Amino acid sequence: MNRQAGSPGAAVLFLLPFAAAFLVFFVGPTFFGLGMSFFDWEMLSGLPPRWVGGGNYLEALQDARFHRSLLVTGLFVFITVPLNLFASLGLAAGVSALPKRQGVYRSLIYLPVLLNITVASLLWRWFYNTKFGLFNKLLQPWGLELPWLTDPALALPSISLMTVWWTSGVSFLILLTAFQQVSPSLYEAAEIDGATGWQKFRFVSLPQIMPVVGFCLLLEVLSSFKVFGQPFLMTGGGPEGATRVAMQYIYETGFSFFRMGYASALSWISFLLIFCVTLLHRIGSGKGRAGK
Amino acid sequence: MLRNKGVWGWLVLALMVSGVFWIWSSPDFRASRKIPLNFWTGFTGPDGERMVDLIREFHRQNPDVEVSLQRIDWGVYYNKLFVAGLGGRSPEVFILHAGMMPRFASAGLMAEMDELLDTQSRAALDDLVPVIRPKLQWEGHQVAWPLDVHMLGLYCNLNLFRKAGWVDAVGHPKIPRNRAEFLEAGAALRKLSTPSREIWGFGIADPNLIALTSCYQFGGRLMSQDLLQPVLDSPENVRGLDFLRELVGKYHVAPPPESNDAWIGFRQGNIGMVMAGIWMLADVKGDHAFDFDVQPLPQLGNQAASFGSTHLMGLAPGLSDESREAGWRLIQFLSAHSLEWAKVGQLPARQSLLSSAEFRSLLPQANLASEIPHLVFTPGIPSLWEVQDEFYRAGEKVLRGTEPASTSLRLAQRKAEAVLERSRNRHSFAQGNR
Repeated sequence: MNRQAGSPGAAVLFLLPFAAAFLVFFVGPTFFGLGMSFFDWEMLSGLPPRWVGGGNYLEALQDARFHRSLLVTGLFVFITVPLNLFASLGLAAGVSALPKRQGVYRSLIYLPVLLNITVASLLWRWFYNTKFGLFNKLLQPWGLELPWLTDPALALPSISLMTVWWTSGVSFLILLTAFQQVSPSLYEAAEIDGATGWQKFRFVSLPQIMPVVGFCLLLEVLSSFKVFGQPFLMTGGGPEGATRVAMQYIYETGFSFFRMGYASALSWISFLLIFCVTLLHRIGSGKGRAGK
Repeated sequence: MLRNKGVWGWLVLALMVSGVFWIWSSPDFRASRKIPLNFWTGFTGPDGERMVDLIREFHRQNPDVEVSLQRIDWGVYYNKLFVAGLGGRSPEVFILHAGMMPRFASAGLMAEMDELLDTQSRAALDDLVPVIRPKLQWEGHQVAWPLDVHMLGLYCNLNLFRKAGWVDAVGHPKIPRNRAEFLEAGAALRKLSTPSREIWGFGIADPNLIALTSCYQFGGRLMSQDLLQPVLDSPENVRGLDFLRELVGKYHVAPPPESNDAWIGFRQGNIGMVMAGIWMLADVKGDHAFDFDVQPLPQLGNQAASFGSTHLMGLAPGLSDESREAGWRLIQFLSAHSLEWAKVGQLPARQSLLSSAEFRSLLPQANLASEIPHLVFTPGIPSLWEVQDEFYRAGEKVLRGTEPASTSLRLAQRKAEAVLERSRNRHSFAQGNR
């Protein structure tokens, strides 16, 4: 046993670079933002920030566009998370059942994750183009021409679909590992009892990987709440604000209109909402475990 | 032995540092050092390539200056420029649109140029087209210099015009000059449609700028004459937006903008006419098989007007005398060479260049010079983005047929009033340049 490696001094030394960066680039700005949210600070004016107390938060309560952006974000989460989870669960189950070449499929399914968000978004914007996009070309034999990104009712689900294609590889990989961790003896016992493939999945695999599914669910909910790049690059928040999510609204408030105080307040409200969802998930998963 | 090696290492390092310092501090080296200038632009297309050529020429004529040209997409350009300015890291020289100048100038991010104006540059100032001159000043001080002037033009697919029989007596395509001709040409082009291929007379290529232009042509504006009140819901603006919608819903000469990328439709030969910025010229000019022309916009409302703007060049505040002088030299060089710049689209801002034989032979850019007196610039107020954003949102709803113009512009007016009210309460600069 190396005594020096276990000493608190060495631990502090090793942690210091990360801790310093964490403090400077995360904790510091977070609390600076909290402080800023109580000020009216319009960088455009060149004037110093002015204390407004809870004024920015009160304004946010009456800001219909912010409410709408939260609603759009909620809808995005509502559409994307189940789709993403089912897709990755189905793919993981399928690939784990393959007798060989699992590695090839694993790589292929994970490949989109490696794409940069700009590349993925621009690629799908072309796919979705009403007049000469790939999807409408495929639908042409049926006489269909869908305005994927230009119809307010279709734009958000279209972005969700792209997000599922782009991100499901992460959950897929985690779930695949979970499937592979299930003891083969459990499947053997189920086979002896005459279980079908579906029954083995439903009564053996699923209960075993449930904590991992919960973890993936939480990851996806959190990342979906923070969605920004896809709608920003594919629709710019349009048509008619149908895809303007909370993060884009905050970005525009802060970095287009330079209302830094108000943008900070909006960020904190969003943070609190995401925090509440995480808390609910924790309480829910805790109850689940206690129930077992 | 090891210790000796360490001593030698330190000695060599000390010698190297002293050597570098000695060379750097020698008068000869300092005299040969070039003045560094960061120059930020949003020219990321073919115009950016032309700018690179101009900078090369500037380097050739000014060997004591080293310009680092940064090309940043317009979508994020102003955010970066503004944040850089607030952080005290502005590029020495930068480009910005006339509509953005009040925002930057009011935040103290643009240096005054009054002291730099000499006899020659004052003469050049007098040479600028009159519509631009007020756009160069903030609170009575010269803070910017124009590179060009740009506007929308009517791009026409001449092949489609000929196929539709929309030609004059000698067979030349008839480019519409007024509303009646425009609608007739649109209807004639529309008739070229076949069951397998739809052809449209007109496409709404840049909905925001076209909405502004349509309103301008019906006498509408974004702000009142004194720049104190938004006038988004004026009857003129309502008429301007209604007319655009009528092109889709009543006259059936334009496809709904939500299901059509008009510029691409135009390039594919499915749309006969589009109104687009002169900056799109490079896109069609490179395609030798595409027979097109660009002419001044037809008068669709009761007056000739087009959205207009200019790329201004500004200097960062707080520069050393040396950098300021070099930056000013670059600005004057680019202004003097704006005829070269015009070859990619944007027109020179100097009257002497506009009337030169070289420019007059530069087609189709020269066609648009007649639009200059009728250009309408966005109002010079710091809160322009917010007010304009409200107008654009309203315009989108009207063009898509979601709301009538009167309803959507009324809401936009209320929102814009709130923006201006906040600006007035908070700032001393609510009023801007006319």
